Amino acid sequence: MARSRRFGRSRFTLVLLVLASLTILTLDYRDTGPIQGARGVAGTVVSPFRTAGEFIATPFRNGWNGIFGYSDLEEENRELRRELDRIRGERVEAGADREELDELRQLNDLPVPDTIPRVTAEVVSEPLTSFDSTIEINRGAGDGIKEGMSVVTDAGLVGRVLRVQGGRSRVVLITDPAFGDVAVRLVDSGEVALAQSSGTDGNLEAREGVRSGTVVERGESVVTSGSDRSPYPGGIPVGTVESVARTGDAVEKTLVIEPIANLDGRYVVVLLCDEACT
Amino acid sequence: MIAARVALVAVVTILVQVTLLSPIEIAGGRPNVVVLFAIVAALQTNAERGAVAGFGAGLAFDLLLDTPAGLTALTLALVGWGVGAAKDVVLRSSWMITLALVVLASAAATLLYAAAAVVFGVAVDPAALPAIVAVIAVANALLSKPMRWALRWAFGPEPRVRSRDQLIFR
Repeated sequence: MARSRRFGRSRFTLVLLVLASLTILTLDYRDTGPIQGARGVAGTVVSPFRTAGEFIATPFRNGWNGIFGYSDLEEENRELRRELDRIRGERVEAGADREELDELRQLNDLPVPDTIPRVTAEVVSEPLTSFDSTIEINRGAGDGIKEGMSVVTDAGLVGRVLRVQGGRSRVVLITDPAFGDVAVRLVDSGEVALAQSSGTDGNLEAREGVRSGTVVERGESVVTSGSDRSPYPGGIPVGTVESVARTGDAVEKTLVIEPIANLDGRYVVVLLCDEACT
Repeated sequence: MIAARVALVAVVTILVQVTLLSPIEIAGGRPNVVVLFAIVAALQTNAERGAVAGFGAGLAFDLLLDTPAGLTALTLALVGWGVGAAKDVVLRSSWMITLALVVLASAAATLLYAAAAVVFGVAVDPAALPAIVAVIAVANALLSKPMRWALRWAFGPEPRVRSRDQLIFR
């Protein structure tokens, strides 16, 4: 009898906790309530511990990688040598491409990204769980970083600032569905489309904006459009067209875009502009 | 006093998670010792306390993540309650049964979280799930002993009312 009463009470507690969780989820989903404020405080409080933890863990992590990643390093070394040979061969061609891109920028009167102020940041933390896909960088509000600013590498757009927590910021990657839409432009045809993450395969998908009559070749370069619909500066490389298909009503084309930038390096650049970028 | 000690263990668990365990990625999976906290709290006490401990630790961890806040709290409350209820069914306490409960509950918690995450719009790669589940289950099995020591200190010693000669299941 007592056991049954205790079981009933624990079930009642569980129902209360589930309802509390659902309330918090709803508040967070609607971006209301104190959730964002609490997140900022929690991130700031934990930040020094994470810095200390990084300091302590780095030698162990290097040791671990040295022991278990030796064969991977060898393979990576071979791959890098092949890549270097290929780049040497493409250097002459790249010079011509750069001139063409500059010309296209001038023709389309797009803002030149080099004029935008920027700050270099180090990636100090990878995702915290297997289901989290944001990273943390070691620059924050004191460096002029605000939410929504573009994050790039030397290859192109890699993400945007999701949240600033004191001296650090969290960045949502372009391949995360939470990144949302990015207005892109096909370099050859000049067509502008809205692209978003296609899910878990690491690619982007442009579903609207490319007319069915537009000629789109596999491998065509895609850059940010810099239009009013996008908070990202124009002309930043986004990726290359991986495949092309038609929509169900055959009015437009859908494109699968392979992002050009990745986070293999330790450093990224944050463009210090938000609305002014466009 | 007990609540303060449990909160202290929860905070230390989360700090260990974000500073030492989160950077470790094995075959696409990262250990998650916050799940272990909820499981062991339930094993040390009962379903109700397990659910409350899981909810509290999960909510604190949620504030550091960029997945929807409340998702970990919801999952760990359910897992804490489930483990506590399962423990009530088991009459004899042995390290094998405890370890099996930790492994099974870790796997269940991860799958439950993945399912809830999909409902709330988080992208989850189904092909990566087996590795994620395996990494979390194995890591939690390895770390269950120190977590039991910590939570035994926090909750106080277990009441010894069970006989070793009784049946394993009711």
